[in-house]
Amino acid sequence: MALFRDVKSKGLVRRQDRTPTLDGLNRDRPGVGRYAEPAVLSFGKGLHNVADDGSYWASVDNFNGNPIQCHATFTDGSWTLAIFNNDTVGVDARRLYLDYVSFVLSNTIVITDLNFAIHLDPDQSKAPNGASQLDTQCANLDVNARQRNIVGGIANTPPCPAILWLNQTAMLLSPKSRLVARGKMRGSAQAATDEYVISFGGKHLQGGIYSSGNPGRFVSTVAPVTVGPQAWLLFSFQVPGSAGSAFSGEFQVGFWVR
Amino acid sequence: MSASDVNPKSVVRVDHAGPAPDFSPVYYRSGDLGCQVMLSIVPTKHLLADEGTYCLATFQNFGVDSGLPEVIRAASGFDTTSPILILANLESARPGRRLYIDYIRLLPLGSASDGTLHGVVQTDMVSRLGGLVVANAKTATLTQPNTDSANVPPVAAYGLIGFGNLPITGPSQQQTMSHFIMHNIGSNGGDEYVISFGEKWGQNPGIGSGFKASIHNHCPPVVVGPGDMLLFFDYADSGSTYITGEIEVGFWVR
Repeated sequence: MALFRDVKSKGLVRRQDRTPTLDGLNRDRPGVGRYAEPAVLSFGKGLHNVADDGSYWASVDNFNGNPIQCHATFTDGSWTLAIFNNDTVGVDARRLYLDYVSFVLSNTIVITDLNFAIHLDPDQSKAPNGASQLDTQCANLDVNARQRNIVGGIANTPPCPAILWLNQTAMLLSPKSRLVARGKMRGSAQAATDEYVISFGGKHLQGGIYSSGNPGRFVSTVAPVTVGPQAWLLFSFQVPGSAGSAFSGEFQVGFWVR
Repeated sequence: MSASDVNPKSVVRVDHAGPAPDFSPVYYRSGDLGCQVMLSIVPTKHLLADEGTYCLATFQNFGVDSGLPEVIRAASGFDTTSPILILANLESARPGRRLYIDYIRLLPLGSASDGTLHGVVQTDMVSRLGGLVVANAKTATLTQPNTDSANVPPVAAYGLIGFGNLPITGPSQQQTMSHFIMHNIGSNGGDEYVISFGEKWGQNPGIGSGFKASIHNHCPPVVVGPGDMLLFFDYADSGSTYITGEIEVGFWVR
């Protein structure tokens, strides 16, 4: 390629096209940067580039304070949060890249040791209960609503392939499932307005000694997790000495799709 | 391509307009030493300041409680018509640039012990400025953190920033991007609250009552396109007052 002069779409690629990928998205048009550089480059350490091309999505449970299903020990088939990649397997399939899962506790319960586990499962045959589905919001309304509809752009906004549900039951792990994360959010009694955050793919952070009943934010870093088409991410809380809907609160999930 | 074809230096925003969506020919950007691609040599955002696209909104009369906006709405519950910060991108859709939000910093001067202090970030693709009481919107100074660039925004009309007690029309097509806990016990005068966009989360050791702290919060990366708005709200679980203070906003324009 004779570099810039042969590039037809002179920049703004992030507003109109995705970078050509092995997934087959716009592979006939080269990806160029905001200033027609022959590569789309990230600036800084943040995730704004995936928001820029319309790939970043957030799911916020809009202050509902839902009761949250948890168990005293790990219980197969019962999930606090279940995320499904609804893209069809094939060359155009996208993956979900988890950024974070956050949970704001809205009630006070005096129990100790809040643990979590995350499983991946490629078994698409699970049957979720759709009553507790969460919305997904694109982090860039410009891409979502406008730029993809202008001349030369993508005709329609690709909808978010992720579907999120709370409090799923009777969804047993398949033999192909795998545990990808296990950790502890809090070792002392929980307090209302605690924030529990699972951060994917970042640096591990030193926790502190949090006194019982004093609310704070607790961040646990886990491995980078990617969910392929027709696969599940299954998240569960375990609280020794407690079971059922002991928690109420609000989930948030941030992820990008490519 | 020879090196002579390479437009030197990275001051694109000063010397050349960015590429237009109608694909009209424009200069491409190249590196400081004639590189064909502008690469950042550091993992921070200094390249954005270098090219003159990073902007700050600050209150220059810092520390003086005169003319400062309301930064804490210590009223009970979330109200979709009462943000304390509006950042509206007023550019037209074509060729409009986008605003990339880096951070929001709040420095309240007073205390509001009205229960848990929440923060909410929303976006809306429909203007809701119809109900705005302009007199309530305190004006920040827009500047650039690069002495080589003019001390003005790249384009005068790129956006509107309002702070304070800002009643606006009701939600239209808003999205809630994040809801987080800024302080578990209300606010303390002398606290600092920072909301970072698109970065990794940090711990928040439960701050006891009466202690002042710098508390960092997190929001997904948010991009505000032409005609879109960013709205920031804070509210307490109980109470009915506003607390004044300083706000600083960092963002870039591309």
